[in-house]
Amino acid sequence: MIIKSKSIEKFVNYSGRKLNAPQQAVIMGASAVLFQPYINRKNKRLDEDTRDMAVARSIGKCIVGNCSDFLARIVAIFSVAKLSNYITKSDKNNEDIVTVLTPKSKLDIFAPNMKDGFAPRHKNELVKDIKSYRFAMGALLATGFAVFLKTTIELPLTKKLTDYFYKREKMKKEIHDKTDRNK
Amino acid sequence: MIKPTGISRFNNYIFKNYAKDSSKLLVHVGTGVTVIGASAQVGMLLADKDIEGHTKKYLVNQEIITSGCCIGLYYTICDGTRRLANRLLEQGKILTEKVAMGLAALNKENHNPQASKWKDSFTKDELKKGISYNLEHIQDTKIYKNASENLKPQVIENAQKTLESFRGFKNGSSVLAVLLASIFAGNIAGPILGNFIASLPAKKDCKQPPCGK
Repeated sequence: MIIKSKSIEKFVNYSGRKLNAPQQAVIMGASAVLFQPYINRKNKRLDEDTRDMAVARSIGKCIVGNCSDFLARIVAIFSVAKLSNYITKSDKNNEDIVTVLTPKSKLDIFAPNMKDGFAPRHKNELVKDIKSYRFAMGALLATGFAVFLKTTIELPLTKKLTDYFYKREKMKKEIHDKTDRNK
Repeated sequence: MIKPTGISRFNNYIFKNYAKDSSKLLVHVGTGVTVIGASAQVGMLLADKDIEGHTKKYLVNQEIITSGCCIGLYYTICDGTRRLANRLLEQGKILTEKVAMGLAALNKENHNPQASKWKDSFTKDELKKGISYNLEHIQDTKIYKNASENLKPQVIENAQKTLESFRGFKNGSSVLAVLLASIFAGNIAGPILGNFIASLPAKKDCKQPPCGK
């Protein structure tokens, strides 16, 4: 199949360039808030109270979890970018082939240090690869960060939000029952 | 030059494995975060004294089972989708007109290249290796070997430009495929399956007097 539409091509290329780990957290979070409470609410196998709690918890968990994932990823990617300055040789023009990639200083702990095993590539290709690498390393670092964030910030916040949404679910039901009785 | 240490060996490994393929990263990081998140949530539920006994039992079961389903489905569906998307693209089942035209134009003897006839630029054996491989190793292809000496630099230049467009499209396609697959696996299929399995014992519990309604 050959895609002739330029707008589809642009959209796909744009997605490849722009969608990365932080955006994944936002998209996953938004869709989770949309689907998971609905799925829990439709679970008729449970008694009403358990179902309300499951709905409230899924809303709280999705909001807090994905917000903290997003923040952790942003912070981690930014830190990696700051600590991964590199030097190359003979790369004045974009078309020049880069053969060596080393960290700029001892502080650049996240810069690849490739003596052997570095496949030579054009400078503009290397710039793109380094950008993807920073996202990748940042996202991995954020996964480690997540252990700390989830136990210190996320859990108490999830509990608070769960309680809030649980009360709201109950209030909604009460209002609904009252209007039913008045009819 | 700064001496390579343990951390730089790890950096090199990440650079080699993830710099060219963002979708692979999304699958692995997503799975890791789900595992950590689920373990933390189970811990929170167990420590929460405000939730009633049978509700807590259900929520803990639900969290463990849903997370298990989500992690399993997430990894298998997302990784499967990523591999399938990459395979379809490498085989040229889905291509943009620009890439197809670039591939067709590799044959410099052909003065009227057509996007639909891009496959004529490669032999059957070459096509099996994938578009990226052929463009990266254009000097090994029949089309390059058959080209006259003065046209060979043009073939190489054309192959590099086409490779760049192809990589951009391939990366975007697999990222989108993985995102859609992760929404389906993590937010729809996982919770539905998890709820179904987790509510089986809960339903049995609720038939007994204290929590039955």
